[in-house]
Formats: sequence, C-alpha cells, structure tokens
Amino acid sequence: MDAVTCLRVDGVTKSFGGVTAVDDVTFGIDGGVVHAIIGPNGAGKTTLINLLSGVYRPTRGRIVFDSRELTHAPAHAFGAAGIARTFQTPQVFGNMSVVENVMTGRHRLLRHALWPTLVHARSLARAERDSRAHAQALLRLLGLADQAEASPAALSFGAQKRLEIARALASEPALLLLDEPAAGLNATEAREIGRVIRHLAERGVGVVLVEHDMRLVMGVSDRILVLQDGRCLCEGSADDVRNDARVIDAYLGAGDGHA
Amino acid sequence: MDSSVHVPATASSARPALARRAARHRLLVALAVVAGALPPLVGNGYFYDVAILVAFNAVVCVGLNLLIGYAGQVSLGHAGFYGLGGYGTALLASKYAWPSLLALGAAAAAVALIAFVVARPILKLRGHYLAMATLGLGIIVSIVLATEDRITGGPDGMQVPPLAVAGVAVSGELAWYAIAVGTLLAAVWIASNLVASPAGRALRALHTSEVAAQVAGIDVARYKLLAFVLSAALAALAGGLAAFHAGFVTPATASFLRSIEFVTMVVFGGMASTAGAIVGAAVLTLLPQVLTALRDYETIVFGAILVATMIFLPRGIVPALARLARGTRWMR
Repeated sequence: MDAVTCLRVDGVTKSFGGVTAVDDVTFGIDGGVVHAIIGPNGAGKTTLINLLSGVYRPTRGRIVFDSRELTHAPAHAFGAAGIARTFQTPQVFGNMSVVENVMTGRHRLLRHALWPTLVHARSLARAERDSRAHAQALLRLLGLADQAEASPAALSFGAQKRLEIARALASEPALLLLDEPAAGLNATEAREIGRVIRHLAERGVGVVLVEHDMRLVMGVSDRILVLQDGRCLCEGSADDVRNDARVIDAYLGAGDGHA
Repeated sequence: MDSSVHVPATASSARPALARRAARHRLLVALAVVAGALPPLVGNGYFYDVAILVAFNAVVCVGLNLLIGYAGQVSLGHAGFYGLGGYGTALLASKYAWPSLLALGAAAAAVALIAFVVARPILKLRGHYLAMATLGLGIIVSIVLATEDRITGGPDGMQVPPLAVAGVAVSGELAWYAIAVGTLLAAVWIASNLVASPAGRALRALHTSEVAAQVAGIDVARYKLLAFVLSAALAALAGGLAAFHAGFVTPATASFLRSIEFVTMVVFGGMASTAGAIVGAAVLTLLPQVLTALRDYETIVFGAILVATMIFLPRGIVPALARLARGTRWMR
C-alpha cells in the first residue's frame, strides 16, 4: 500500500443537543502512519472514533476516505470501504466461535450472492475454507490460535480485546481505528499490542490510536492529535507534541501521572 | 503472542473441513432416517395425519428460527404469511385453475414480495416495537381474510382442489407424508447452508451487536430483510401445502394464536438451533393431540409453556440438552 493520505477529516463537528462533543476538527491520516488521539476524559476521543467509523454522522464537516465521500454514508459503508475498528468495551459476537468472529470481520471481502449461499455452492465452500485459514493465521498473530473453536465468552478481557483486533484485521483494512486497545490490559499485553500496531503500520495500514497509556502512545505513534473539550489543541509529530507547552499544561504535566 | 496470558482451557483442536461438512449435514441425515423409519413402525392413518401436520409446522419454524433465533428479530405475525400462502394457493388453483405446483410457487413468491415490501418500514423497529408491528400485520391479514368474503369466502373459508403433480392427483397418506417430509428436508438444507455461510454469520453478528456488525461492513438492514423474506416464503410454502392437504382454508390459519404457536415452538425447541425448531414443532403439535382433555385450554397451555421455557430453559430444550450431553463445551 502506498503512503497516500487515506482519510481526510475536514472541519468535523458533532453536537448532541446543546453539547458539542467534537468541535471543528481537521486532520488527515496516511497509510502506514500511526496517529494517536489523546486528551483528557470527555475530550471527545471516542466520539471522534465513532465519527470516523460511521457510527455517528457529523453535524457539520466532511469525511473523505480514499477520495470517496463518506460524510453521510451508513456505518456499514465505512466498514465496506476498508475502515475497521475495535471498541473500548469488546463487542465480540457471543453466539459464534472465536474463529467465526474473525471470519465475520472478513465480511466485506466475501461474496454474498443469494443463490450460492442457499445451495452452498462449491465456490462458496472454497471461499469459506480460505476465509477460515486466513482467520486462523490472524488468531496466531494475536496469540489466540488455541482458542479458535472456543466461545468468546470463555476468553479473558485482554484476549477479547485481541480477538477484536483480529476481527478488525480480517477485513484487510486500509485504516484501523483502535479505541483504547490497552485499557484493562497488563503491561506485557500492552507491549504486545504495541508490537502488533507497529507491524501493521509497516505493512501500510493507517492506524488511529485512542489511548490513555502514554508509554504505548509515545512508543508507537508517528503523529499525535491532542483533543480538549472537543477541539484540536494541537497536532503534529510525537516529539513536537511531547514538547508542546500547551499540551504539557493541559494534559501531560497536569494529568494523572500516566506520562 | 504472549503465552503467559491466562485463558481458560476450553479450546478444542480445529475441526477439519470434512468434519464441519458432516456436522452441517448431520441433522439432515438424522431427520431423513427418523422420517424413513417411522412409517413401518407406527404407520397408521392417525400417525400420518399428525406427522404431516408436524412437518408443515416444522417448515414454518425452521424459517422463523432464522429470523428469531439467528437474527434475533421477533415476529408475532408469521401465521399471516402462512395464511396468505394458503389462500393465495387456493385462489390460484381454484378460481384461476392454475396447475398446483405453479399456484404454490406463485403464492409463495407473492408472499415473499409482500414481506419484502412491508419489511422495509417494519424492520427499522426494534424489540417490542418490532413485535407490535408484526403482530398488527398478522392481525390485519387475518381480518382481511375473514371479511373479504367475495374473494376468500369469509369466515367459512374456501375449498382447495387436490394437489396434482404433472396432472396426477396426489392421494394417499404415504404420498403426502413424502411430500411433507421432503419439503421439510429441503427447508432444513437451505437453512443449514445459510447458517454456515457469510450471510449466516452476518445474521448472528447483528443479533449480538448491531454496531459491531455494521463496522465490519455488514449491511444490517439487508440481512434482517433476507431473514424476514425467507422465513415468510417458507411459511407461505407450508401454508400452501397445508391448504392442499386439508382441502380447504379458513381465516383461522392466519390467526394471531397461530403466530403465537409458531413463536412458542421456536422458543421452546431452542433459538438458533434448526434441530430445536423441528423438535419444538413436533412436541407442541403433538401435545394437543395427546392432551385432548385440555382442548379448551390449549391457548393457556401454550402460554404457560412459553413462559416456563423463558424462565427455566431460556436457550430452549435442544440446546439445553445438547449442552448437558457435551458438558460445557461450546456448541452452535
């Protein structure tokens, strides 16, 4: 994948009634770049992720992905276009096995003509085998290969978060949105998540990382966007942001000691 | 990745493709064996009457289970589609003298089209609202069937000519038994194929988390629509066949109580289990036959079974038994 700008967010605003959760945010995310979004609680980070994945529609502004206008598109169009995401609280599908969860993530790359589905055509059977093999490989990458046939309910919290990443990767996304992937994980698990993030960026995937774990953020991010009260406080390379007086003032220095 | 992460050891080794395929067809084979073994064992006229009835109900439940059990969308109006299938078939076969199979197919297709049209606004609703809308839909159908007496014969219903295949009238209980069981096997085959496909996973996914399904690129509305239309078509097909078998149709076939019976069968048998849908249909079709003394209280008995199932066996009888049999191992 080339390192072209894959997502443009232009003046995006989201209001809920009188509350403006995200206010006039503009930035771009390139392929192969890890772009962290940080900010205090309530700054609008998750709202922004919800806007970027089509879960919310912006009140104002535009979202363009891969030169496709997605501003008013439904959430499934974002997924189908190659934007995958995980959730702060894992939203795994409890009524299917771990490997089937991952196969579901591959939905956009599978064919769904009705007739082959109903008669279980040979072409479908072959595609299913390939899809399962691909899912197994992702489970190996995320250290879940042994749980492939288990119920996701039997997985630990950390494993469920890794399952969500595997499911998101199954769609071979151009852009991956991670909403606090390290929250609730121990230090070793968080390091492993960091390793996976870098691995993806090297393969050209754009990664948006919303995270409170500053060690992870500073360790993997190429660029950082700092949100405060829904507004973009500053945006730039990791080093620039780390040394920005406003950021230190508003967040890092006066924060709760994560930094 | 980090092997020190603690994960409960519930994993089994990956099943090879062949075993998965066998699992998909296990129910089909089991059903064919049971259906083939029963006639020589208990092949009296009464058995055939009940068994044919069971098979027709099971066809409805296999379809309805796709909607309720897999996609998690409740319908309290599927008897409406069953009734429309019966009346549509009856009208085409009697008033317009269409060949039986053509009448049956056209009626099922027309009902699928009706379901497609009404589903768009209805499936935007969720939970209780969806249940109420489908309830209203079923009641409207049953009122129309009862009051449009110039077309439908009103509350007395209408006659249906005998089923003829290639010009030969189907007669005899064994022939009807074969048709009913054959239709059920076909419905099970289609449902199993759907469940094991990307579309089946999409249905299960939107059942658990619509938002997670959507961000995976699943057009949630489209898959709800698919399950709704497919289940309506299967109900209509069963309704049409039942009309041929009975020789008449009445508005009672489309009644609200019939809709509740179908839902009870699916819930009792086990949601998201095709075998459960069949067992539910069998048990709850047989029950009134066995407990003839309770004839007047049938509705109360069905209600009690529905409530008891939700309280004591929320997963339904077949998944609960299967879980017992397999210990705590995960099963679909």
